[in-house]
Amino acid sequence: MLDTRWHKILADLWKNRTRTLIVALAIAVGVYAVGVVVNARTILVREYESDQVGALPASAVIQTYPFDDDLAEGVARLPGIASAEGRTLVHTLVYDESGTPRDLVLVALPEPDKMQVDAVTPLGGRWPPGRREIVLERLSPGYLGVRVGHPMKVELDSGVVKALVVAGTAHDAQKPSPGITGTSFGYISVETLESLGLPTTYNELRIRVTEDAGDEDHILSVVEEVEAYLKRAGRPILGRSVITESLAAPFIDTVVLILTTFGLVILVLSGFLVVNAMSSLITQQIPHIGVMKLVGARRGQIVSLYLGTILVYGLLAIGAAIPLSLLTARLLMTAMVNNLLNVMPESYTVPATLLLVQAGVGVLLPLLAGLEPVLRGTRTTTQQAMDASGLGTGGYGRGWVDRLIVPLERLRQMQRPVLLAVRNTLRHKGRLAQTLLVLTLGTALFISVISARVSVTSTLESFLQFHRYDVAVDLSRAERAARIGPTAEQASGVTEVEVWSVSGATRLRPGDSESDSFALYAVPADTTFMSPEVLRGVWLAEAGGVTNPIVVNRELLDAEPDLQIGSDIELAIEGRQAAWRIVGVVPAESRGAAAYVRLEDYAYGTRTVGQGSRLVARTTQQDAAAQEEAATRLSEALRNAGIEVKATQTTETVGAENSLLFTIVVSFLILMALLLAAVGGLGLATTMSINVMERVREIGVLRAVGASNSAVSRLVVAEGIVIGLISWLAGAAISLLISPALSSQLGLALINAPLDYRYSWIAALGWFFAVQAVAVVASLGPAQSAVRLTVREVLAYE
Amino acid sequence: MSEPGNTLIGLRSVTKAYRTPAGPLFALQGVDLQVRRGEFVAVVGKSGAGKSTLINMITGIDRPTSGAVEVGDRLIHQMSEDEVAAWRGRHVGVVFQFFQLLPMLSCAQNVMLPMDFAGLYRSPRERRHRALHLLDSVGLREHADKLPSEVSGGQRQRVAIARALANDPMLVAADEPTGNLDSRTANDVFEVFSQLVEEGKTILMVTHDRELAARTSRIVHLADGAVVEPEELQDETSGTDR
Repeated sequence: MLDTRWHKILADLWKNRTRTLIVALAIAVGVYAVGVVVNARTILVREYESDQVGALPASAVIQTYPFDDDLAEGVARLPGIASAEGRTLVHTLVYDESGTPRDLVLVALPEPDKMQVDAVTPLGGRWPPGRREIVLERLSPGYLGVRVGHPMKVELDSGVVKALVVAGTAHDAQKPSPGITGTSFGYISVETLESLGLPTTYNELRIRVTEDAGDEDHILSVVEEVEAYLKRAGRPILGRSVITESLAAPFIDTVVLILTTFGLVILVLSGFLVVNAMSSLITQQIPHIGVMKLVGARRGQIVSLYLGTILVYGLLAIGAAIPLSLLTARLLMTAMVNNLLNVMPESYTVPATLLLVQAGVGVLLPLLAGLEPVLRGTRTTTQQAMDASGLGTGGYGRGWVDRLIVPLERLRQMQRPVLLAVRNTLRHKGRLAQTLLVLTLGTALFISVISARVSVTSTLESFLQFHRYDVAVDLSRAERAARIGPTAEQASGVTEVEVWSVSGATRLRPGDSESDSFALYAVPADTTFMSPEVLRGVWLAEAGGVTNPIVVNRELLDAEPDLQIGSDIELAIEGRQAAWRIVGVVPAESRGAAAYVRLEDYAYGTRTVGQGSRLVARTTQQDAAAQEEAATRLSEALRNAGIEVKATQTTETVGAENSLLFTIVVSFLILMALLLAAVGGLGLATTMSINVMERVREIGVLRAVGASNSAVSRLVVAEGIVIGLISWLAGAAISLLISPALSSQLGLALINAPLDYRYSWIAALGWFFAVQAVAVVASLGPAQSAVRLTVREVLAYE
Repeated sequence: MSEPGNTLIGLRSVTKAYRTPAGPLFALQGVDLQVRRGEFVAVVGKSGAGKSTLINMITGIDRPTSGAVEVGDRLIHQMSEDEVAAWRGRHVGVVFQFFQLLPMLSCAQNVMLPMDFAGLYRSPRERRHRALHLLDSVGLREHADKLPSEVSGGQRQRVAIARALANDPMLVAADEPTGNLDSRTANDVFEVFSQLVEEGKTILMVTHDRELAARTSRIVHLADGAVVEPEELQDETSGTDR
């Protein structure tokens, strides 16, 4: 049989179910936020690291002339090298069910079961693949529209189509989803390579260092030894890249940062919300506290009673929030990590200690937040509690804030009820400040997040300034422009074409060090197929009499910080060296460090005058399907003319891939902003509850002097709207300050360059209406409670 | 101060003043009062005379600005809020005009509440047994498990009386206990009080009802915060009539 005091707790909780729900929700939001952050981070970091460890990731990739095992073994014996392996990569095309060409890179593995660099983990089917078989990276079958056990047709550069049987799937932790990169990967044997009529020599050397795999300087020093070795062996370096982290790592860091930052903010705001909710609870309980003191309860007994009530709220919150946070974390990891970043989790479990942490938050947060209101409320004397007249507490008129609105009050048009609403809002400035803090932050962050989204769109549009064409075709080798252009122009759907050259380049720094490879685009100086915004200096067309002008992008400048407008740099391009002068800087594009030179300068320096290796074309229609169709026709036309095509890409695909990258991160931000909005709405609801509860008699007096139900409701709702309005004004003002910083950091985290910032006025305006709607809805409940009381009831304690 | 062994309540020069912008407002001025054990005392006076303030002094709900309040052998005006609450729960039963029952507890649970706080009766079962006995004594046994909202005003007041008796206090203080009841119900409640007095309880009752007051063993008249003799009141009344 329960003590009567526990009966009171349980009866209170049940009788005031709405309040119980609001308070439990207020706690649950904080527990949920902590849970999502902690669980998602734990799963993400654990599974990513586990995935990487087993993958033996490469520290550097070097492109050189074709080589064999002897060279690789020689490199493997160099100091600082843990392992070195050759790979043969062949670029092909696969046509999916709709006929859209998809890039597929065939990777020939000489000893699939003995890989020591960028190891591939077989998942199912046959391993290693046999003759004329292919094992696809696990996310590729869906992207390509093929199935294990079925044949797949691949089109080689020469245009020859060969059939391979999809024998199974494997996981390559270094390859992000083809949904992001647009490129699938498949693993074949050397025997299959030979059967396709392709050379079986390696074209890529992958090395892994023995230590300090995250230290770029250390890796560079080892790579330079390797390159010296290769040069002594008569093999020039055609390109190299140093890898200190996987492609997924920046996304993971960004997501973890967002989760952690916003999770903490939400937890703190949830704490304020709980304080408000506990204040509401205690305020409602003042008469009961008086009765209990009247019949002999000591303060400590009453405090323990209400702390027990808070504990029940916490348990209710935990019961809902923990399972929900586990589910959310799992869904986030499945959608983002598993499917997009290609991190293959072995487990979605979280340690029991983390669950205890979340439970601890669910119990301690409300106890800590509720302690002050409980102590304050139980300090009420019996007489004060019995005298609680329902005319409300709080002061108005003396503070500087109150004096600020005096001019407003003098407006002749200001009606008394509105005046009453404004004054009532200001009666409890501390409570108002807490509510406003939550609502204002929610407003500011929501607008900032949407502004970041708009900035992403603007940035993507600026990316597309680099692609003012519809289709790009990369050739297997440089061909005569006079042959490529006319051939391409005959393809159906193509309106204009231009011939470029694209290759890798490295900067030869003073002191014999080299930069990582970056993309070098050689374009006609007066091209209209590319017109990026020039941030500093001039574009190639305005370079005037400068010899070998070069325009670099911001990411290359960040990687080579000693460079500036007017700097002379030495580049190694296709085994040849030449000096170039920087004349301009353009924004970073999503594909990393890059530079742009005049086609004629490039051709002269590389002895490829009159040739080009990339064809860019404009089509009659610009939708995705039309571009894909035109790309197909273009490839066919070129191949029919004996020109080997390595890869094609449509600008729509480029835009979609870039957009996907940002969508992941912005989705997290929007989730956090919505949680903040929920916290803000709950905060407003509890504040309105307290305000109405404290002024029951005042409302009765209003009713006694003629105020109708609707008039009383309007008054209460008006207070909510005033609070909503104040929070919106403050939040919008703050968003003007924080949204540029948020967008900048987001861009730096993802593309090593700030986003092209845009403030979303639509979001600000939309949020204005949303917060007013929240204010009305949050106020209606308390308003309805107020009007339900009869005048006799509220004035009974006269 | 009080006669040893016989006097239960002793007030000496008790004054209660409230600060107002117009200066101090005296709710009680130099009140001297003694109540013996077993007395049934009615406190009467006009509105604003200080009746409720007087009873609040005696029950420890309020504190005097000056003077001394002794109940039993305790100077309650010197106790802390916590001490006086615990003392009140054990020694004083309070009944108000508007019952002051907790709406979410049943009648029996309301009666059990003081027992829980005082810790006098060990088990919940024992407390319920006593609560049912007390409700039976006020004629409400069959309503024990109903909520206060499910019984009449008079029945609620009788539940409040039962609650006031939960810890067998020496004193029952009632502030306008019949003020919210019809005359018949008021009479029923008064009869309960009379029965308690016969059982040895001391009852102090504030009332506007002069007929009920006349049925008590003593009437204390308050006017303008001071105890006055009935003759003085009659003179006043006579003066007013003129």
